[in-house]
Amino acid sequence: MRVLRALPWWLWALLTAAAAVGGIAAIGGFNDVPIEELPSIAVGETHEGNEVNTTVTEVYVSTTHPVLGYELEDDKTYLVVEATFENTTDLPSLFADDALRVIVEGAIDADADPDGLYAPGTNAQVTFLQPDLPTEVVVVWEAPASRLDPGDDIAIGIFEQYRALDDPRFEDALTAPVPVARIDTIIGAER
Amino acid sequence: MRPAVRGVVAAAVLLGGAIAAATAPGSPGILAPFAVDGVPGEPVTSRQLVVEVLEVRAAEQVLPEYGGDPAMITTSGVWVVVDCIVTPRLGPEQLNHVELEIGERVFRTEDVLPFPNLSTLPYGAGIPVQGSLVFQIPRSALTDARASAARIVFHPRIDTRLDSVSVVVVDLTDLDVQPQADIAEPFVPDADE
Repeated sequence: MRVLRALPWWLWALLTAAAAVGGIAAIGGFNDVPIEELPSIAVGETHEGNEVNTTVTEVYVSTTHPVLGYELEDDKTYLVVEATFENTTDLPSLFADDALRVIVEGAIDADADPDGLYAPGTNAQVTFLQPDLPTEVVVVWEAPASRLDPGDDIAIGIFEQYRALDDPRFEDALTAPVPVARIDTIIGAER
Repeated sequence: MRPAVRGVVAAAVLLGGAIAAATAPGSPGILAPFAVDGVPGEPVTSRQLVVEVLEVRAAEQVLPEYGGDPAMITTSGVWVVVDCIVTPRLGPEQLNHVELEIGERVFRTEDVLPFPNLSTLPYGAGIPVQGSLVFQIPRSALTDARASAARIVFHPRIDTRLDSVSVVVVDLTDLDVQPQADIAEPFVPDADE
């Protein structure tokens, strides 16, 4: 006990900090959530999000734009994900752009933003979602045709975002989108 | 000062601070725009716009009557079409952020009509443009009791803090939903109209 009492205050502080960091690390607090542990859902199943409900209904490749009808050059193709989004809040939601991302090995990375998000009913880009209105959307990525084929594995990540309560600047600040569910399927899958 | 008195004073100050913090309005309350309310058929003037709503329609589809090869525009809900005359007071403006409020729910005007449309007021201050704004809403919103006093909030910028906005209060509950609503190309109305 005498030895403990003899320790200087700063060493106590260091030991306390080390114990806190060690404790948090031991229970995994500093680890990123591994994507393998995200809950998995199927094509046609609805993920009920905190802002947007998402149902992926079809995944396919096409050299013709699914809404605008443009033809791509020979060496490129569109990866098309059709989905239904429903904004469950009372305000227009701008989250549609961030709600989905895909991974196709060797063709599309997880951080590749879509090349467009369209509503077939309006033939227009979807820039926001009205409250309580299920909206069919078509999300497209351009990719090399040689690397995308029907039957290829595809992982679709579904994202959410949250209020950033500790943001010092804005009361309504939001976090970066984070993945909350995944769909492991193949190109060509449909509900 | 006695320690007990100091304690009471400190507790009172802390309590006062807690009450002030708990009851202080948040930013939305402090910075909310000033609404100038009106009804269809009369001009409603705010700092940046003069708005007159001529008619409000509801339809399952809308069809622009202009724009080359017009196509029917559909929705999973219903379209609310607001025919109106809008006159900017300061210069060319945009109307991308006009909102339809039904109770707590806020819907934003859709930019789905071919160009030119009423999302742009290109001619500058004092020149009115007559046209239509469209809102895509769930069909059930029309029968919401609060739709009897729905508010169409006109403002040309997304930031309305401490500004005035033109608000037209309309009753959506007695609208007949038509299969189709035709949308005319925006035009500058005659001064006599």
